[in-house]
Amino acid sequence: MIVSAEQADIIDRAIGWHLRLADADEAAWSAFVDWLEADPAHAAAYDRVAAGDRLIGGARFPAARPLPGNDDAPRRRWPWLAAGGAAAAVVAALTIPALTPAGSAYAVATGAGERRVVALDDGTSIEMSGGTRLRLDHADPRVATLERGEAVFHVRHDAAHPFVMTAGGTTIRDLGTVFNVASDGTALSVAVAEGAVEVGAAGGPVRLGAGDMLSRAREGGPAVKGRIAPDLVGGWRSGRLSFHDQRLAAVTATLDRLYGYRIALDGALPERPFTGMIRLSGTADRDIPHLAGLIGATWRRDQGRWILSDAQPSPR
Amino acid sequence: MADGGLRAVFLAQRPMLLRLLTARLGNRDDAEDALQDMWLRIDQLSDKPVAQPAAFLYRVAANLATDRRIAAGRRGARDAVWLDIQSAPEEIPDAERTMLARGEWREVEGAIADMPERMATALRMFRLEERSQRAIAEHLGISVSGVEKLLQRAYRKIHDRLDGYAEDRAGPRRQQGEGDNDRVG
Repeated sequence: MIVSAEQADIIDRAIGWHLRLADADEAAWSAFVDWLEADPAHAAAYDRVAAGDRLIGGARFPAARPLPGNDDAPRRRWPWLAAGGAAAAVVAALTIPALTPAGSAYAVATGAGERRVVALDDGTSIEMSGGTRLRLDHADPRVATLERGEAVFHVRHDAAHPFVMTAGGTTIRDLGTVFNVASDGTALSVAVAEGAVEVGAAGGPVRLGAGDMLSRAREGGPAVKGRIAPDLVGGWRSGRLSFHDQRLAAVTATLDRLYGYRIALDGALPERPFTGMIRLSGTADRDIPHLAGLIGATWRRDQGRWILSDAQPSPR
Repeated sequence: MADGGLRAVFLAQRPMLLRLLTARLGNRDDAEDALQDMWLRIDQLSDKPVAQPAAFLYRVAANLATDRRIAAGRRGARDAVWLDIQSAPEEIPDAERTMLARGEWREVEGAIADMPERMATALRMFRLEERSQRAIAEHLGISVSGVEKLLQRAYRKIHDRLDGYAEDRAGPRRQQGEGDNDRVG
């Protein structure tokens, strides 16, 4: 019993550290390292707390109801970048500044290789991948614009107030759903994991259900409907990326956005089509040699850049 | 060129960063590898000067260590082929692993759904919105130490739920159950 009580205590202390680290200064980090090193059980306990913390980051929370007894307190509506504390300062530093001139609209953005979850007032949450910029509105949590990048939307359905988002000049209206949207501003790809969405189109709205996807190379261009295993929707979250007949240049651009990998393709490689699923660890040293192996290329490093070349010697 | 300063801070903090990564990853080789990874990506870590660069780098290193620990756990069983090509999504070999990950997710969401509302709100604000404990205290109208207690209990509930789930899957390994940890307090 003593052993198990002690273990329980170590978990609680690991949690205490984890909470403190959110706004720890240099001295606190150094004290944390001392604690981790003091006993392998400390490191093991913290490891489990950190793994659990990651799961919380992707979890859906019940819709927030107004707090009882808080009515007279001024309701603060998402002062994203204005919140006090060092944690907020770090967030601000990681996020590309995106201040709107006036009004209630605001932008949230991630840099290459960064991820972020945004919770809206209505209970909707948005998982943003790297290189993504979203425009939101304090006054209306049921609208969003994906200016570029890729995000998974977990929309809390409200028939009276449908969630409406815009990407690549196209309107997507949720019918109660989890869906992924990727856009570079003109090209658009929508895939539905759960529920359904309605995508605006010239000939009238197109309805997509679970396992449906729709992609379009440019604004106003033809849209192609396809199927996807619902498990694979938003696969970037688990490092599983599917590509269908895309240029390798587009594949490496995606890796840059998601992981910050800077990859140059030699010769004819950029134009080579690629179809398949790539599983990524997030560690360039592992991912890029494997990608090279997958496409039959050789790789070398040049400063922070990776250069892939065709393995077959080209005829001169 | 916002990171000339960050590079200097990295070099100054390198010994302590290495200790942090070694403690988290369990061996020095992996820690050196992770440090190298950070060094290569240092240009992309921030677009702007960082307010507390040392603390910032520790946070990045701790996140990187967690990424690697989770990735290593997932690779564990399957080993070699973590990057592969699939002709059809139905043939994905790690369906079992995906199920496990989804199961863990469900456990966490279940634990959150069972939480008293204030606790869930505090956790959401802390974890998803990255708000400071002080901001959460203001929002909830309670003290900062009250927020800390709520968060402490919230993380504990999630830990215990995941622990129970892992044990259910692994079969009864321990003699001593910890059944009452899940009690809603």
